[in-house]
Amino acid sequence: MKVKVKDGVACEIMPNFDAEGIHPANGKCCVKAYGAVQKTYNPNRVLTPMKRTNPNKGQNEDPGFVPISWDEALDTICDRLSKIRDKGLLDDAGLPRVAATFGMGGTPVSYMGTFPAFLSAWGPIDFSFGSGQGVKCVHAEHLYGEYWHRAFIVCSDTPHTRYIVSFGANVEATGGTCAVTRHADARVRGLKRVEIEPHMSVTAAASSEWVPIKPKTDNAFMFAMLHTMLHEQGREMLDLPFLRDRTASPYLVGPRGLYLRDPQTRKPLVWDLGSECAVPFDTPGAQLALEGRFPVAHAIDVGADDDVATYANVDGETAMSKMVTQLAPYTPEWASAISDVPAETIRRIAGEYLEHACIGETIEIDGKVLPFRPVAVTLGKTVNNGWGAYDCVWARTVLAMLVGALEVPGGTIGTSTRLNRPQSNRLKSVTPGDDGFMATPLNPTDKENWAATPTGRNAHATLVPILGNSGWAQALGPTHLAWMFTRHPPENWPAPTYPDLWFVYRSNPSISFFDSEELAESVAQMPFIVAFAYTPDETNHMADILLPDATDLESTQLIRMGGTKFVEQLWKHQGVVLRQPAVTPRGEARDFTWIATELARRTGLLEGYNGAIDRGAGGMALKGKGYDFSLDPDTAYEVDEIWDRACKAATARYSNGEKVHGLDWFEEHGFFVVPFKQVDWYLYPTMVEQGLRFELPYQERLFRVGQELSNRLHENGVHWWDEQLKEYAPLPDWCDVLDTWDRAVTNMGIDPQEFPFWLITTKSMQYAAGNNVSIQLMDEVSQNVRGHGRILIGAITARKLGLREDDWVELSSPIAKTRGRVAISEGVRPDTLVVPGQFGHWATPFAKDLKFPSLNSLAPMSLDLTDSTGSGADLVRVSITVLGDAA
Amino acid sequence: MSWGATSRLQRFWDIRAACNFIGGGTGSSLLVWATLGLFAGLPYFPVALIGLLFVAVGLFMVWLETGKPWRALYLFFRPQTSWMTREGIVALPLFALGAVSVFIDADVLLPTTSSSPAVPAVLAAILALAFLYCQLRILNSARSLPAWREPRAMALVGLSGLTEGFGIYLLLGAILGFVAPAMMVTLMVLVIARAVVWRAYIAALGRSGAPESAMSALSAMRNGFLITGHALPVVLIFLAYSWPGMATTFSALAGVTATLGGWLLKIVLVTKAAYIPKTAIPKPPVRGRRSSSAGA
Amino acid sequence: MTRYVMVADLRRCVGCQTCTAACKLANGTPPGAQWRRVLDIEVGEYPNVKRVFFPTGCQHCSKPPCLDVCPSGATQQRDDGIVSIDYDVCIGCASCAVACPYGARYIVDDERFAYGASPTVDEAVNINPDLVGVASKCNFCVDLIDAGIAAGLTPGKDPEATPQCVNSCISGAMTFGDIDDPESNVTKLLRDTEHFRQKEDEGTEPGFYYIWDGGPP
Repeated sequence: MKVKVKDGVACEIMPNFDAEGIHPANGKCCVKAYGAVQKTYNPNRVLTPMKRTNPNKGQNEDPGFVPISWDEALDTICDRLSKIRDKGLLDDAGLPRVAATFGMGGTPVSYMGTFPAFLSAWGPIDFSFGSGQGVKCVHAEHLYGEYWHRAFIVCSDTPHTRYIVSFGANVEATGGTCAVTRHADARVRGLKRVEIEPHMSVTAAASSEWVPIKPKTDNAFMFAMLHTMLHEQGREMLDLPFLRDRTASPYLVGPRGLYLRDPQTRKPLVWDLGSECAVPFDTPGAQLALEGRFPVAHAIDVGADDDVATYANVDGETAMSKMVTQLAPYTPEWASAISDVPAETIRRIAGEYLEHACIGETIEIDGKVLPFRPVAVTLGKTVNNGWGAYDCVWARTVLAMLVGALEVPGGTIGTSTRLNRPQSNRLKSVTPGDDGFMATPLNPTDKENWAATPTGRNAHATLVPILGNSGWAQALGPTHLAWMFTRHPPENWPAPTYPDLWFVYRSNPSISFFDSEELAESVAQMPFIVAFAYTPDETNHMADILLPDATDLESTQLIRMGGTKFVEQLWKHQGVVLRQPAVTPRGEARDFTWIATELARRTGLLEGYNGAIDRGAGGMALKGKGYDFSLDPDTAYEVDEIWDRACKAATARYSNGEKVHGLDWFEEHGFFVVPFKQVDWYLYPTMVEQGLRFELPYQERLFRVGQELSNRLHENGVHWWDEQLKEYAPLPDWCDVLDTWDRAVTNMGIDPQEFPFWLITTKSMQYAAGNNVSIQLMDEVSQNVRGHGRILIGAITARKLGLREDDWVELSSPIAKTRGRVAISEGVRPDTLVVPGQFGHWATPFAKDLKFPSLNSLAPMSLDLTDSTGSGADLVRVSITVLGDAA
Repeated sequence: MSWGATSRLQRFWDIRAACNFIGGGTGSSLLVWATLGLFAGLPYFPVALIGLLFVAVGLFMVWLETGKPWRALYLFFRPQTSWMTREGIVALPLFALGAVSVFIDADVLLPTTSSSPAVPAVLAAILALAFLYCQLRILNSARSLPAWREPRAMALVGLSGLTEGFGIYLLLGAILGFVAPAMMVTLMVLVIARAVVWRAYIAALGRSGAPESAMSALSAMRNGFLITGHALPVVLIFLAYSWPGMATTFSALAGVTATLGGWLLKIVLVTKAAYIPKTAIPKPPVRGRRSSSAGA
Repeated sequence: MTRYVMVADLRRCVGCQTCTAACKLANGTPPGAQWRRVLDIEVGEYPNVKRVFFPTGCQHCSKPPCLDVCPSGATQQRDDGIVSIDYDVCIGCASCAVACPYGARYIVDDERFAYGASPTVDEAVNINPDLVGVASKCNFCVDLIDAGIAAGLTPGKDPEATPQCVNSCISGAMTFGDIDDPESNVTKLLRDTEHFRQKEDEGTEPGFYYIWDGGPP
């Protein structure tokens, strides 16, 4: 984007038309960007470092913040940090003494300059305390998407696809400018998108069809689609070669539910129709049987904890057949009773999906002939979180798999990797692993290596094997467990400690997480909080030091652009873009990179800090093939010097050393890109090149890992994770999410029927991941959007309750009550209520005066409502009390 | 609620604008009735003076409503099309001629000759009618507001103006002692006619698909309007006929109630029934109906 | 002749309000005044309901009702079809506001700011003080257009000569141009699509078209 500055004051935000034809949205920027002007000049900004003078922390305590100098602020922090280093980086419980929490979507990384380098230099940091991770993201997709097809984020190949079945994916609100542009183009050319969700979101509105479904019953709908495709349609409608050659469908499964393996090589066996015997899956020339039950003369299987069983003359059934059998009960009629969607609708959509799949067709991209399968399935946030989410991501990926529409043009594809390296190129993260699949390191579950004592407060390495243990893994762990366990540790579990120092940036967990009132109380227990503060808010209300960082229009950072990343960010270019100050920072606000350098200097960590920047902790490695702009280890560099070197390194890297442009060049030109091959949007060619198969549909490995985890936990007397362990099944049994909820409420000693409505939430483009609730402009323009700041209620229900537009109501959940005004809509199911966004502020200036309701204050944090990945869904049972036209 | 999704009340014109319709309607018609009375030998100048005051107060109120009152002279810049300009243009000679008539009649002007104000009074009355007509056209120009732009609103508000003026005329008649039975009949005819036009207006408005909220605002005032402005005057006139000793009082009360009914109508019309309809979408967009050949 | 018109493709619009926000910054309108905004309209009843995002604002009618009722002459119509307001002449009588069938006009009586009684640093520079007490509305960013033409640019094609709502639109829903030019973007777009104008029975002949269907498959 570009900024218009008048008399030294930023006045206008404009698209950057220099990026036309390069950026998928032609340089256009999101509505949130237009709030950056007010964000800069918001009179409620924190403009000097501050310290707390009231030692008591709590919602009703005035923090008594008083301005202090940067020197005093940094000395106070660094003094504390130095004492921590003296004591040891881990506390007596083996947990990091320093913790850090950042806002969602990876956005903060684009604003925190070289702070990651400071964190890297520091050593172990606990990223366990989430601010909505696992609840407000697409958690199951992150974990399983990455596991199955290196798709931390999944989307449709929108420019090519012709038919999208979208289960609550609100891509028009959360997909950014690229998604909006791409989908608008696709609609005009005739893309049919069917949106299946309980209320008519912006995305449903812009779809060809809206199917109102009962909340959290999407798994039933999807299972019924699979049933239709496997039991009611002919096999010729499926992509049989893809299933045979690129998936584990032909692998033979033995009596213990494990792959039958070759006794010598331990390779999974398949049935060779040519030789009519079982052979290892990679036997050259073998004609693999996709379906059937076959007699295997000699085989072994490998169970949990290397428990090997040996078989002679054992029956092996293909994984495909196993799946067909597994899905037999899930008929459209069965799903209809659960989801409240007519069976014929489910059947029709499954049929349309097959019809549009173009089985057998190909397309040439960048000179390569690839399968063309223009059908995709996308999933929304609540579909992707909590119980039932695993069913949905499995079913989604299998829907793509059955028609060969996984990671091919037109199909369901991934954009980025986070848990596997390198993050900058997901194709390069693919290497051959066991059993013909990609190698994906999991957290160990064997007796010797399992992390019996949590290494972080959310216990990601202990409880969630699929996460692995790379840099991002911890932040994607069961983050609400960190909050829950510090206050109420479960049985036979090491008592967690609070970190000695907690950094918080661009994040407000006291608002953005479930059970927000209790969470705020937990925040108040933190011994020492350093908050990078834009304005006062509900989390930094408990802080000890506030540090004002330069905001969007005031700071410098070189950011990667292009390639494939985030949501629908699929470019034909890649490179870097410079965010440069349009105006000088207000007050005493300082560039984040300056703050990070000062922290490193004052704690004596310059060497590690500069080294981390050299390695790319600022977003771009300073040293590479043919170039070296490394920092001197002992020098504290100026902000511009660091970014000048980053600019040079980036241009050298992308141009293969042909060009070296410094900060001054970027200040004039803004960005530097080189072409990115479109064929690299798809993983399929890489899989073919390496002869790999997608680890689908049968989850033998996870099944085994789950059994091992069960063994470990039970050995340690932990039984409170048993429900979660049931998700480690080789093929999913349908999870009755609503019943799970009811049982959880019943466990609280409350009758769920007292709460007859399902409350859900939805994101809006004006606010999602925006850190902008205090921006008046966003509120003003959002008033044009139905339901902003309101409780959306279906017209039928409103009539029944005698409600008029804007009437006040009180919503009660089993744990709390909240009040708000209603907006009546024909686009909401009668059994559903919707509270958009995350509000309910009580400290943030401007936002606290809005008096908007929030689902987060009503939703309980509970193990009963946590799935095996550690996520929970935005779903609450509530009742309504009509208050009329006054609260 | 998002803008345009439901009908919404206009907030541009408030009670001050309603006062202009009240003052303009009552005052201008009072001038007309005073002039007719002049030819019947009834007192002129006190009545006409009060009529002029009504018009003046109305204009003063609407002047207060403008965003830039000190630019009032710019009002006169577009007589070609603007009924507001024309209203302003008519108001100037109206006041001049009205004042001349009043002063002549009151013997302030030309006191030495026994001049009749007939000529300027008739001219003022014609201008008063023109002024009233301008107001009706202003109302009718509000094309965003079905309750105003309905053609029968002009008939209703015009007739109401005449009724209100006549109601005040009766009141003044009672005070100054010139009430005649024919005047009571006239009021009766006016209120009955207004009730008939009201019915026609509501029916037409319903047919035109006016916003429900506008209809319910009008319906909420219907009883008050019909009872105060119509039933009561009729009853009071009957009482006046049947109780000659109190005829003056009853006829004055009849005049007042008929007037109040009209004023209520205008207040409601301006401040409560002026709903802008919700936005209608004649053809919802077709989002991706066709199957596409892209990418193949 | 030249006749500038706006075209909104309802198939593309997702109601993101980026145009609304861009317009507010570009024109320095006070809180509450939105010359461009996108309505969020439901059509039908559950479950057979459609939700339509409907960009609106001044329709720059060929026969603008606001023009006729304006007593001061502040509202004017240019030869290129743009209906503008001279804020130095407008008396703020609101005749135009109630006359406009499209609800496109705003009157902000008092100085208003985003955060309380005094302007923020940006508002002190960017808010247009001439807008207080007068009628205001979209003018198709007429200053941009005029400056652009003077610089040899084509409105609707070159961003420097194009209304900011169009420049900002992320879905490509908004298009601007000269409908009298047979080769202009808007002419071609309207030639290929099904479209309507708001309240055509008013006879106002709006210069704002809405595409609802059509176009090459």
